[in-house]
Amino acid sequence: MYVDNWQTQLRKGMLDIVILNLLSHGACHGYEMVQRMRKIEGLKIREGNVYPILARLQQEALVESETRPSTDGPPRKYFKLTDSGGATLADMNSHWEQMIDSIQHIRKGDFL
Amino acid sequence: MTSEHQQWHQLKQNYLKCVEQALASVDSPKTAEILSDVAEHLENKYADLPPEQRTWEAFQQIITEMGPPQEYAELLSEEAPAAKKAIFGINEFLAVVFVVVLMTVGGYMIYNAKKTPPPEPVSKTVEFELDEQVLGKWVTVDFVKTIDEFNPARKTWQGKLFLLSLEFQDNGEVRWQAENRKPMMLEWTKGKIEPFDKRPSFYYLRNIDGQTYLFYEWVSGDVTLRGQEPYYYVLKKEE
Repeated sequence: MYVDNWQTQLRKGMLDIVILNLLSHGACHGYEMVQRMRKIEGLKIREGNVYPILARLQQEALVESETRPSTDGPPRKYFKLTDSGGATLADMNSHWEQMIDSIQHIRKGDFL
Repeated sequence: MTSEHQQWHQLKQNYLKCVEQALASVDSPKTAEILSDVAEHLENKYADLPPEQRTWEAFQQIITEMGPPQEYAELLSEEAPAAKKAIFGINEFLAVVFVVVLMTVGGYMIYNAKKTPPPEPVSKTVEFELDEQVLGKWVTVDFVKTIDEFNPARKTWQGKLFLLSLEFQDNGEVRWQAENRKPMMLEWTKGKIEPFDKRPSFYYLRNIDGQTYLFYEWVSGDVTLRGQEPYYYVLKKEE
C-alpha cells in the first residue's frame, strides 16, 4: 500500500519531464502521446493525466499547440515544445541525471 | 441511439461532469480546453473499441484508465499534492461522488438491461420523421469549414476524408461508414442525426450547379464544449 502511494506520487511528479521528453522527439496530439506512453514498460500512467499537465506546460510557455489536418479524421490539436521548453527540458534532464546518480551513491553507501 | 451507445454516452458525460467539478476548485482559464481534450480522447477510445467489445465492463475500464477526476485538479494546480490538506476536503468528496455516480449509473443500466426490450431503430425521445430526399447512400466528396466554402470544381480538403459515406434507411437508421472503422448504425430523423438528447448533427441539402449535396455537421468536442462552429462533410448521392 505504501509503495503504491509512493509510486502514484512519483508518477505524478515525473509526468512533466516524461511529456517534455516525448515532445522532444516531435509534435504529437494527446491521444497519440498517451498511446506511446502506454507502450513504455513500468510507466503506468492514468490517461487523463496528460491533459492538465499539457495545459500547465502551455501556461508556462514550455509547450504550444496548433491545429493540423489529420490523415484519419478532422483536424487535430498537436502539441510541440517551444524554444523555452527545449531549454527547460535540457535543464530538467540534467537535474534528473544528477538525482539518479545521487540515489545510486546512497544505495551503494558511497557517502559512508 | 443503441443501448450500448446510450450507456457509453451517459458514462462519458458523468465523468466529464465530475472532471469539470474537480477543476472548478482550481479556477483555471484552461478548464474548457482540458474538458474538450478529454472528451475527444474518450471519443477516440470508444471509436477504437471493436463493436463486439462495446460492453458496460469495457466502458468502465476506459473511465478507470482515465484516472480519478480529482487528479486533474491536482496536476493542473502548481501546488504539490502533498501540500493539500489531509482532512476530508473537496477532492475526497468529489472522489466519493464519482464512485457513487459510477455505481448508481452502472446498477441502473444493468438492472434495466434485463428488463427493457431490444432497442427499436428510432429513439424514444424523438418521433421519426421521414425525409425522402435523403434516402439511399451518400458518399463524401469534401470537408469544409462552412457550407459557403464548398466549390464542386475544387476540392477544399487536401487530406484523406475520414467519413466515407452515409446510407439513410426508411426505418430511422443511417449506416455511418468511416475510414478504418467498422460501420455504425445511428438513428436519424428529418434534418438531423443522433444524439438527440444532446447536440445532434444537423444535415442540410443544397443544390449547387444542378447537383444536390448533403452537408453533414461534424460535431466534435470543440463544438460541444468550446462552442466552436462545426465543420461540414460534403456528400453526394452515390450513382
